[in-house]
Amino acid sequence: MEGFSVLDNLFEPIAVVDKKFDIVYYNNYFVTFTSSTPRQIKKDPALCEILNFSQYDLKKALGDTLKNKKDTLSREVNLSINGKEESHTVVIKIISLDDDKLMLCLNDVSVETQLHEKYRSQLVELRSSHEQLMQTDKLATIGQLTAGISHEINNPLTVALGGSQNIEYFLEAEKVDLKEVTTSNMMILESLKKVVDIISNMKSFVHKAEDQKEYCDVSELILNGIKLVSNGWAKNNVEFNNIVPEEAKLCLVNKIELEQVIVNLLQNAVDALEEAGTKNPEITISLDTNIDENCLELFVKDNGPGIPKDIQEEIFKPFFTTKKVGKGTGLGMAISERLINKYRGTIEIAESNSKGTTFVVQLPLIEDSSISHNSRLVDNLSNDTVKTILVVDDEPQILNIMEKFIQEAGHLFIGSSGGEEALKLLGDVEVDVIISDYHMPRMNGAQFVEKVRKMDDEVPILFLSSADTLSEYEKEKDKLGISGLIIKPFTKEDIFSSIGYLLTDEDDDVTE
Amino acid sequence: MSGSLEVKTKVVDSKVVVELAGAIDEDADFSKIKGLGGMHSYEFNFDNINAINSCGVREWTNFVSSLGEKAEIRYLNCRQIIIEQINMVHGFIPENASIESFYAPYFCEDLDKEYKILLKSGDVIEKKAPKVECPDGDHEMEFDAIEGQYFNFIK
Repeated sequence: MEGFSVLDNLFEPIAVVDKKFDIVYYNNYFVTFTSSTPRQIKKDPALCEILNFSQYDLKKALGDTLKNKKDTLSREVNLSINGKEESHTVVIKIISLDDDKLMLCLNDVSVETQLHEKYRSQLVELRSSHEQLMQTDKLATIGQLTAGISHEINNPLTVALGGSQNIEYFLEAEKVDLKEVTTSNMMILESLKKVVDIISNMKSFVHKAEDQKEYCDVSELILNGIKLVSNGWAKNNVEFNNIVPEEAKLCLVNKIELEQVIVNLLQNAVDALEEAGTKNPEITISLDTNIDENCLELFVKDNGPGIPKDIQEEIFKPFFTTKKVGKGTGLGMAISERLINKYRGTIEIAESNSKGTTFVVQLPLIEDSSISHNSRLVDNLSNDTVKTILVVDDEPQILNIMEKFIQEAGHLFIGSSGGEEALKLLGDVEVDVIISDYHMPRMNGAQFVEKVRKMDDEVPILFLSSADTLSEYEKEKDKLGISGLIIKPFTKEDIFSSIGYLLTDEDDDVTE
Repeated sequence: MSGSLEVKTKVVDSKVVVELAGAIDEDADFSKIKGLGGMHSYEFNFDNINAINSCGVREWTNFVSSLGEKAEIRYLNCRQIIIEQINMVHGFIPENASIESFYAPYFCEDLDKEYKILLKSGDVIEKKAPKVECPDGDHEMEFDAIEGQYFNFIK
């Protein structure tokens, strides 16, 4: 048909119909796409006979476009052609032309739709396999640990039994020595507490960890990991050096998962020392902040024979193990790497030679993690009513509860564990309110605010502390421009009203 | 697309003969043939191909270009769906490839029946459909597609 020949060789199926919806023009690809022929179209030009939609009324759409003289675009619909089984997913555009004609353009999105569905189902399968793998590894690790632990539970139970037999003996004596009875009782209590600790650690380790992140002190996780593993290795006289940092080192992770990584590292170190028969076996674990690289660094060092250079690249691969059959699944390091990578951290061999091996785990500081974690949770981040609130506190429980309250109020929460880290963050990120603990190691609240005021003298700041800092607050508030004090322990309403008041009227001071 | 692709290969002198069956799609695996790379000539038989999509076309184009410019490549018994792709996609039939035979749609008006007739490329002169008699009668059949478009691939 004249005027449409320019469409002849386009790769989209195009047809033009008259007001009876009979085809008056079609391009080459329309014939190919509809598996029809010029003869068939000539014989029966009714468009609606060629194109069959299950959930789309083509005739109505054509009628509406003709009547309203307004182009229409459909959603994705399924099309079967000439009654054939195979269907396509298409988007239809109907264009109103002059002379009561309509142009129909079909966009075939079948391949994209199928690939997308395939991708989604494979992703679900992958996630499920990953979870199963994680659980399998945990259970495999538990299997190994349980043998050692069941042996170790025997020791305190034997001591407890001995203690209770002593008490029985002392009570049968003519004169009851209360001091002896008390001592034996203390012995029983301590032993049973040790058993409870062992079992409690085991339970929390076994339970499938949901993907719940929280602020936690890595030093505590290290201690839990040591307790879990030391019940197996204590008998081998491995000396353990836990270099505990002076202050809390916080990270935003799933506690169970990070504990799992620590257990894997410690267990591997123990196994390496045992296998090598190392004299005076030692494992040192240390934790520090690397402010230049914006991360926490956890080191696990043993004095074993080292890992041969040719297998150092292999140890993070799934199912790679140098342990004897039945002693390891070869999944521990692969899963540990996966978990740490999930938190945008890294795990690698820092050093390995004949004097021993050191693994280093780097995790982002909570300032970075909390921005990316919380940005995803806040709706309408670009909305002016959503404020960014920085909370500086070295106690993870405070950060966890403040995060919960501030998220409930619909704002973006950023956590920081200390003044130095918070100042570094403020150099890059603008915040609307700062809430700072007063008593912090290295830099207290007043020192922190003094430095903040050199960068920004307008941002509203609240102190968060106990009632005993009221006098310091009164002294410092005017000098430092502190807007208010939230007293611990606080409720959700205390936080809402302090922040709400600040954000509606920044000129008024607020004291709780 | 749910069909999988079956690939049968045999080597005759320095020629690799490949029979393809099923669907050429995103899951198509040509590794069996890739393993026979570097041979002098290849013959691909598309007689039993029942489906092809744009992902399959991409897979095919990448695979056939990996055989190299020096290999002689021939396509045999190309189904209509293959011809349609050849006419649309650059690279489906590279410079060193030719189509020896293909199916073309014809229609017998007397019997009101469609036929797919196997033609050789040499049968088509100046992109005109050759005269073909109905296999079930003796009347000449009508070519049942747009000649200029269908025979566009013929060099």
